[in-house]
Amino acid sequence: MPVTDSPAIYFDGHTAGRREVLVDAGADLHGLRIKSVEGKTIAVWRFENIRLAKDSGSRDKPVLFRIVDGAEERLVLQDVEILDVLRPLCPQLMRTDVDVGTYSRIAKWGVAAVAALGLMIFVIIPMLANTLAGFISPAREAAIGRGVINQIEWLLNEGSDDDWTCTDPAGQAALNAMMARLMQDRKADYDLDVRVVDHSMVNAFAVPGGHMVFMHGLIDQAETPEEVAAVLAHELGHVVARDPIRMTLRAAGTAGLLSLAIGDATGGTIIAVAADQALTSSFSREAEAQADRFAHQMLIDASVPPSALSLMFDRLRDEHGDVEGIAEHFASHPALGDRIAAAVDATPKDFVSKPILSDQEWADLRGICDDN
Amino acid sequence: MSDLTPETIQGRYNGEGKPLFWLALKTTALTILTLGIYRFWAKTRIRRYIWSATAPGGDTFEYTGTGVEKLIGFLIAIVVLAVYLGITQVFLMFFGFSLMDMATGPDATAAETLAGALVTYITLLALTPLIFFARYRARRYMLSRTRWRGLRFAMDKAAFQYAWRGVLYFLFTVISLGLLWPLMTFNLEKFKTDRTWYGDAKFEQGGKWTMLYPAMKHLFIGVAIAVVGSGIGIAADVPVVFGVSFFVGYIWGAIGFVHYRTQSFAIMARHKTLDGEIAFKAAPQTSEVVIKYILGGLLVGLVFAVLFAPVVFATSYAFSSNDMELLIGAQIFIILGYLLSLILSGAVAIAFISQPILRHFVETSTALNPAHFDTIRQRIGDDMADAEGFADALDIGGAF
Repeated sequence: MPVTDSPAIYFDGHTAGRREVLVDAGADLHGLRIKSVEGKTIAVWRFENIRLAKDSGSRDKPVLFRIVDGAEERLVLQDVEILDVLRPLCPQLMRTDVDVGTYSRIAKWGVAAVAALGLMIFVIIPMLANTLAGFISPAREAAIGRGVINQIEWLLNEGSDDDWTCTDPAGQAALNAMMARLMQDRKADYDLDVRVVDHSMVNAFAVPGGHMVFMHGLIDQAETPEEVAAVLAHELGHVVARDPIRMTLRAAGTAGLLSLAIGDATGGTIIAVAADQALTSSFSREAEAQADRFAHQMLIDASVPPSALSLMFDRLRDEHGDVEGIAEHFASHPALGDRIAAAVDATPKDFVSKPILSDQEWADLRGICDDN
Repeated sequence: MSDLTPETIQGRYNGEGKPLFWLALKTTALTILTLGIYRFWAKTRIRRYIWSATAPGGDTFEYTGTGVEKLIGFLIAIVVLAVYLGITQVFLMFFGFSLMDMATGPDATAAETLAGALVTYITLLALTPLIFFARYRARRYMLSRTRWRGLRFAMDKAAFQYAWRGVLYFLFTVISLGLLWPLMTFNLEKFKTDRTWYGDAKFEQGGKWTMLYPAMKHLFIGVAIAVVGSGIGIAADVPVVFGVSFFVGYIWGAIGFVHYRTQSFAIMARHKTLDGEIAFKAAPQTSEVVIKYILGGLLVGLVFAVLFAPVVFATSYAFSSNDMELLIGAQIFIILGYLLSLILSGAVAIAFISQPILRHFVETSTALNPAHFDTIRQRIGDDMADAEGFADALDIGGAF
């Protein structure tokens, strides 16, 4: 059914003036004819060029435009039923027109974005972090480390005001003796400080500036001083490699880069957090493996069998289970099974070991927190 | 209509709750299913609806932005931001560590802890100018994709100048404890308005910043009640006085905040001109805005509660049963419930909070001397390859 003299509002695309017009459309015409109220033709839009503005918030006033170079007119139909006539006549009424070359632009910038993120995260930021770490003086790094320990204490000690560092002098002396025996004539960049804190968690960690912290739970769990020595050797590996300060700088750079790419207020946040976790742990797993290798050598030099490390890991595995498969990529440490095997492999046959502590010293170390 | 006298054109809003709710629901669901990629199209479609529902004098706005250009703009922004943020964050952290040297003397430990905490936040510094930069570019993009009566809007290129001004006024506001907030509001809005075009006609922001102080009245009253009242409560050791005055001051201040946002917008709108010939009136009511927030907020809360009640029930049952399989099932249930309520409450918020408030602002706005529009002519388009990619990547932006 053709349309004649249907009212519409016409904007010519050159000025902001509005003009009342009449519209004709029908199968015998090749396009939509726009006329002045006096009946003079203003324009004819070919049907295949006509598009309807989508997702309209004023449903009774559909807006038409045409895809022709340089044409910026708008036609607002006053009678919404005309759309039913136009639909069969205008095969591309609802088409979304995409400029030529759009897809190759998406591909080009997509590759550029991935490359920029990859280059920053895997090359430039680690390089920058390593270089800048070299400019941080040992004294400053020690101060940074004290700040970190205080923050951790505040977090883990549940805000309690009691000093959580264990201070028994004999215990501390035993710990220092153990470290001296491991270090032998090796040099570190800063004064080493190892302490035990009164916390039941089975854990130990190194923070910037040569500070190492043992949670008392770990010493409780260990059956021999060699197991503690093995963990200490591992932490010394981190300290000698300056891992903590490099990791801190690196994390500062990469933090947020991934959430930038994926994050939005919806489900993307979950993915971003998981991806960030996977990424930082892949860095630290590399460092962990290196610290393990350092510890094996250090233990051999000190006549302690590296397999002591595996005994400690065995205990950890019994207590916490192991990470394997997909989960392994999200864990900050390599799978315990691999580390146990590596520690056992590192122990030479016919290894002659010497006790790292005397029985008295070991008793002192176990009792280091008794005064707390 | 009686308000359509030839001397003015009145703002009109044709949008409805239901169609916008379904559009928002559909596009948010698609966004989640495509792991966020559809969000550029979702935003485009919501804007198309809102723009085309807004009709000063019966002629609708038109939004011509596309999802594709937003995606490309986002990728461009990622390239720039990865390099900028990666490098500045490492350096800021490094310089933050230098602060550690200042911690000496008997209180060294406490100072070190404080400095350590500060270092964590110092990396945020790199973001502040970027946020203003992104906001300006997002507005420029939005205007360049907006038409009314077939003519384009536009904003001049000035994002860098805007960014340093933004940081400066932001610092003034923080240092003056908010007293200089009107200076920031007015000067930043004037900066943007004076660079805004409709066709070949330029907007201009008149008035001066001190005219915004009356709009801060209720904010001041709220703070005064909270500070003085709780001060008296503490001094006289009457906890009830402390609690009540703090609560009343807090609510009063929150409404005062909405009042400031609403009325500072209106005052500045009344001092805007287009081409020196067309003036504007704006008379939004703070009470209307507050009521719409509360009613819409209740609706969102209701949707959330109805959806989450079965989730909470099922989860607590699973936890009490201590059955491993049930627990895993419960976790999946929680995630699904969370996503579903996220989609639903977002759609409800757009359709039943943001839209009614926008309707109120539009319907209380008027343009004077509309005959002058006939003399305004078209301008050429502003390409802007990065679209609003910076704002998208940094996840900043308004309701729409």
